[in-house]
Amino acid sequence: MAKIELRNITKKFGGFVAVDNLSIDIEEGDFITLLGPSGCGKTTTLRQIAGLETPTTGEILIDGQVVFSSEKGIDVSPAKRNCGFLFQNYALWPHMTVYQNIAFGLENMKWPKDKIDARVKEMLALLKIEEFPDRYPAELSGGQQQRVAIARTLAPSPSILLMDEPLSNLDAKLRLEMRTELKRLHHETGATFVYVTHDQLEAMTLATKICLLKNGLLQQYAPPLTVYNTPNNTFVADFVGNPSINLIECEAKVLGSNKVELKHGSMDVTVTTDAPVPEGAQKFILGIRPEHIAIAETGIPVTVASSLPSGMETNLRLSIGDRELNSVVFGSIDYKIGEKLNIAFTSKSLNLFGENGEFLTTCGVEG
Amino acid sequence: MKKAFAILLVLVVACSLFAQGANEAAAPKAEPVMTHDELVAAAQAEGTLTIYSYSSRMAKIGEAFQNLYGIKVECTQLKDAEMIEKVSTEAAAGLDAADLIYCQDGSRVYPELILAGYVTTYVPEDYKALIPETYQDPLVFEFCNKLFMYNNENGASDLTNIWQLTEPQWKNKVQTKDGFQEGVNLNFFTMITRDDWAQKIADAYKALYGKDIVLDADCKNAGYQWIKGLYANVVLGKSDTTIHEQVGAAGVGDYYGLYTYNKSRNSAAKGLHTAPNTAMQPFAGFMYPVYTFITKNAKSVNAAKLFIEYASSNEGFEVYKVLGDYSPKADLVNPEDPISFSQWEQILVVEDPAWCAEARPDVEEFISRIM
Amino acid sequence: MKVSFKLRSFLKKPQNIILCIMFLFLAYLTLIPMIIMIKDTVTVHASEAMRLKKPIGSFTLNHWFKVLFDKENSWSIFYKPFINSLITSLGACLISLVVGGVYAWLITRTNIKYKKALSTLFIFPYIMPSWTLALAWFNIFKNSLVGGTPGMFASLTGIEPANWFAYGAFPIALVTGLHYAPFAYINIGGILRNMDANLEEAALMLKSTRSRIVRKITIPMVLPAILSTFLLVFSSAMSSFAVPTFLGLPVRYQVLTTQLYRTMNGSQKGQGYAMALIMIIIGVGILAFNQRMTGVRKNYTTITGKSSNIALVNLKKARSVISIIAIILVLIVSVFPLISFALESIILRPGNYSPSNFTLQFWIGTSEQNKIANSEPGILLNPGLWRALWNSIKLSVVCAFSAGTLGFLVGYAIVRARGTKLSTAVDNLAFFPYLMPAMAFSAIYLSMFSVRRGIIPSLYGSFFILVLIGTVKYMPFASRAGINSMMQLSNQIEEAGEIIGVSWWKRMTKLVVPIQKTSVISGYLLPFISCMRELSLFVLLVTPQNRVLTTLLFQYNEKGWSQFSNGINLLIVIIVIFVNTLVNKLTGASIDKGIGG
Repeated sequence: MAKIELRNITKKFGGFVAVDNLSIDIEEGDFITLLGPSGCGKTTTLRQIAGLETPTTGEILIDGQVVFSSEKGIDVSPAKRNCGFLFQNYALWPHMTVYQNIAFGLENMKWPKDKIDARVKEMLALLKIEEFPDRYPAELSGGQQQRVAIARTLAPSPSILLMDEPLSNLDAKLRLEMRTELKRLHHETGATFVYVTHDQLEAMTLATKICLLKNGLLQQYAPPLTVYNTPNNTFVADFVGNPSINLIECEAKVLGSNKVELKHGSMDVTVTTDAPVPEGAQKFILGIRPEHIAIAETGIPVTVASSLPSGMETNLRLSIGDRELNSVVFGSIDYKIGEKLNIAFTSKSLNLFGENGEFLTTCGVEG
Repeated sequence: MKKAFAILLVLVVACSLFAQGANEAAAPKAEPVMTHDELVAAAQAEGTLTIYSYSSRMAKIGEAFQNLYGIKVECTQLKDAEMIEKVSTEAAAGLDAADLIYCQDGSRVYPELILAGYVTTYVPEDYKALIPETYQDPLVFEFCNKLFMYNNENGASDLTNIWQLTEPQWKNKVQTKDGFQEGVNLNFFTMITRDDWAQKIADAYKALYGKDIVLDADCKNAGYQWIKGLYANVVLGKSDTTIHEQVGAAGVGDYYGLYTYNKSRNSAAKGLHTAPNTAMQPFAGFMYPVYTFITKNAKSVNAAKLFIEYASSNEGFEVYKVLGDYSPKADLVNPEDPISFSQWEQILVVEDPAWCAEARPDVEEFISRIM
Repeated sequence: MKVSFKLRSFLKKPQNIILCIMFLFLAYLTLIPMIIMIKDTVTVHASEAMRLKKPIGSFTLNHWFKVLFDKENSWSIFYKPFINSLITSLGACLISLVVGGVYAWLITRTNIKYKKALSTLFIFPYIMPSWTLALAWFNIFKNSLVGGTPGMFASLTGIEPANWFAYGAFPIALVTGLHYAPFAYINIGGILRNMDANLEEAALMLKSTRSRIVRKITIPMVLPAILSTFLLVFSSAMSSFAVPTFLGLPVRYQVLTTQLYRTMNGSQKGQGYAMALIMIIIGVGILAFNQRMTGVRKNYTTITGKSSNIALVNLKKARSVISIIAIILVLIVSVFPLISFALESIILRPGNYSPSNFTLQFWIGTSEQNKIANSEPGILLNPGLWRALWNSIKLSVVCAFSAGTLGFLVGYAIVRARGTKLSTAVDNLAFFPYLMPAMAFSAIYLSMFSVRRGIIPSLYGSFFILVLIGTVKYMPFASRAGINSMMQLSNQIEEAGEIIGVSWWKRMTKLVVPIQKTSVISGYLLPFISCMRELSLFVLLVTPQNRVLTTLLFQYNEKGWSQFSNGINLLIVIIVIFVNTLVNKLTGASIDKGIGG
């Protein structure tokens, strides 16, 4: 149970800036996901917290203690930061049995043998791998290896658990199962979790807060639903959510401080914004989540470009002139390709972005 | 019945035919003795002459021979063991790789080449009168002396008896080659275990110390006892050249070596101080023979004969006329050396291949044990 | 019908065809010599016939009796040298593993300076003939025991090195160990470089101390490399002859090889073969042990995943000191011998290093000027030497090409058919020649190929027999390199080609070989280098027409013309280094990548 503070962390590899002036506070007991596309600096950030990587400049505090400071010349060894680290490839030691792998960290802490034994058994039970203590990692399946890795990391009860894409090597079903377990573990241990992933769904479902990075720069640091509903910019909006948000570049006519007419192709709507928009702006980007597009009797005319029913819902691609929109319709319905429909934007909290993608306000279609 | 008889008859005839063939091959052909000119003509008709030699100087004779007769000579230097290995393999396989060989280490040459029938001896007719009969079969091309040499920077040595080298003050001050590095050294040790030499060594002991020698349990005779004593003092060297350099270096003090005398020819150039002690009793060292043979499958037999003749002529032997190398042929005297071949014969141990071949394994085992 | 179908589908796979052909090839060239050798240990040889009073070629158990059970002689003939061999070989293993391992760790895992120079120079001792270091040791540390001019150390410091330090087990193990340290460096360094750093980081995160990480994680992970280095160094050290000859003789320290040489040179060949056979059996034993240890359960090849930047250990203040010590030590073992060769080749009188004693006559003197060396023209003017040089290069290139190509194919086929009996058999057969003492191996080839055997004509005296023995003897290097690199190449790459109907030949030339380019070339380099400096393997088989440089070197050395032998030695080392550097610059391959395995 510990708080982590990053202050102006910058990490350069030669000329390449991997992390650019990142400052975030991670509260005790948080489950933070570091999210972003490959090469955005999320793994580097995680390794810097662990002490496996040295920031070029900046300061890291764990539980109020400075563990790294470029100015003060402090660099506490990873062994003394009291963090657990779960590697993407598990990094299980192939020459040790499952038991030996899990016991290793406890031996380092000079635990007595019987206590180690008890703890290892506890971990084996917790992760449901009681049958395999004497197997070597190469003799286990991917999911079992994953569990061993988690058990090994959790065994010394670290107050911070750092995880580097731990589920990326698993198949879809197993991944879903492990997500639930991770969340359970988070709940049971009460430790602070920092979790790196490039999978937005994982980030959404697991995290108490998402830290979204792009090219080393922080994009947004907020709870998942905040990120989903009020993304800081079009990059964030586009990154979270599946099917992805519809970002429609519109010709705009500002009708009043809270009223804007938006045109794109066959679409012509007037929206009421929750905050005033800059006057005289000519272009806006309207962000509409697929679930906010409903099939209506009247409204914007569209043509069905594709229809993918999955039983619970149907994903549609609807064309309005030169572009297509994603839409999700709930229920077991199917549409014919080429079918003419009308749509309406149902939500009162659509996103309105400026010409350059910055978030302006939420808005709703009139009427 | 008739049929069986016929088959038997055919078999007998065939056998006798083959047998005859074999006899023919085995018995030396009674060739007419060629004149020198005939031999040259025959040799020149044969093509390249391939020689395996123990010594690099043979190549020099080869060059001169080639220039004189226009017969191409290929001369390869080989160590004893490789020479025997190669020659016996070639002969057994019927290959005509070497025509002529100059080799040492009688204890292996005798059983492995001579008794095996892989080589034959040829003595030029005119030479038969000039070479002592004992050195004609097998023909000895030359003798090479290995003597007790000492560092004479501080004057002449006063040692007179080989037993003195076994005394404690000579500990680590005598060098010789490990016998196993060169067969002839082992042959020397083998020779002195023969009864006649062992007796002389026992006598020398009595002459020096005035009492009869008492043999250790593991020593069969005085020869073995002396070898044991020498090995207690000796530092084993890698090659005679390095031993020469170690023994003769300035500032070494009293130091002895048993190695080839002909290394002395480079003493001045290398700044070394060595001299042989020829006064040592009962021997001043040993001399080992270099044999020459024509191989069983030789193609250039006549060229080989011509070469044997040439190599032991006054002109051919020139490069071997150095201190330490001696031809048993009477007319090849080395003008530099005050001691003649027959005098050397008196004071040195001379190798007897038949004895060595038989007794050397015992000596080998003995030396291995006292190492 | 069923059998023929099975056979057809078996032969459809190119790896099986390769394995079948190579099995026959290797069985003929390694097993038959082995059988001949076994026979040689129980037959009467010409030199023994008189003594044993039995006809040549008849059966006898005398050799085995003398070697193993004779109360009077077995100790001195076999057991004592055997124990000495074990001591020096184990010592050499230990030294090469420690030295090579420490250098590998320093270079791959710390921020030590001069990394490039260090890793280049560290390979030098392996490139040079092993006895060169022994010679250097002898020249420096010899004491008054051997007489002559005092060694460099004694004359500089006035201190006489002790006998145990100057000669015998200690320097033999040390020099041999240093000679083979590049093996350890390359094997261990390769794994350290490729090993997933996460494995160590994981331990660090679990609060492990650095030393415990090294003990519990790093060393066990490089264990396969350590074991295979052990195997290579131990068998090489066991069969090394020149070093113990140089350094053991003054104190009569006998090892198996010197004893083998003594018996082969003496009149007891059969005993020699018996000892050679025992040496092979020991080698096979270690090989089997090695395979068991790196066996199935602990699968070490799971080393994959994200190769994150390895966090280099910061040597901090010690960085400069360690760097300088490291480079000085490397210079001493790699460059110093070269300087000493150069120096020794230009002095007139031995032991006198004053400039007035310098001369270039041994390099460029005419035969008139070189009276001291029997009027031999200087090295650069010597036509015989140039011919030998050309022969050496020709032989080494051809051997390297055939050993490298066959070795790679073997490696390919072994990996592709992994787990089958045939694959294991070929794997072992291909490595087997490595365990054969060169001296005995060539003696057997000499008798095996001197006569026509079936369809194989007599090869004796031909260039081809040298190529053949070189190829077989050095194939282990290439096949190891091939196996290692093929292990890392996913089957799918080739399958992708196979599915769209690309022929095997094209798959090899267009996919596999280009991907494995550097390791293929490395597989050629090592046989080349070994061939250039090989002596005992060829000495029995060369004829005047195809004499090679080392046989010449050996002759000069025997004659004690140290200037010539040192000069030729320098020449060989320079050529090898030149070729290695050239190939490295052109293709990126280097011998470091070849030894692995």
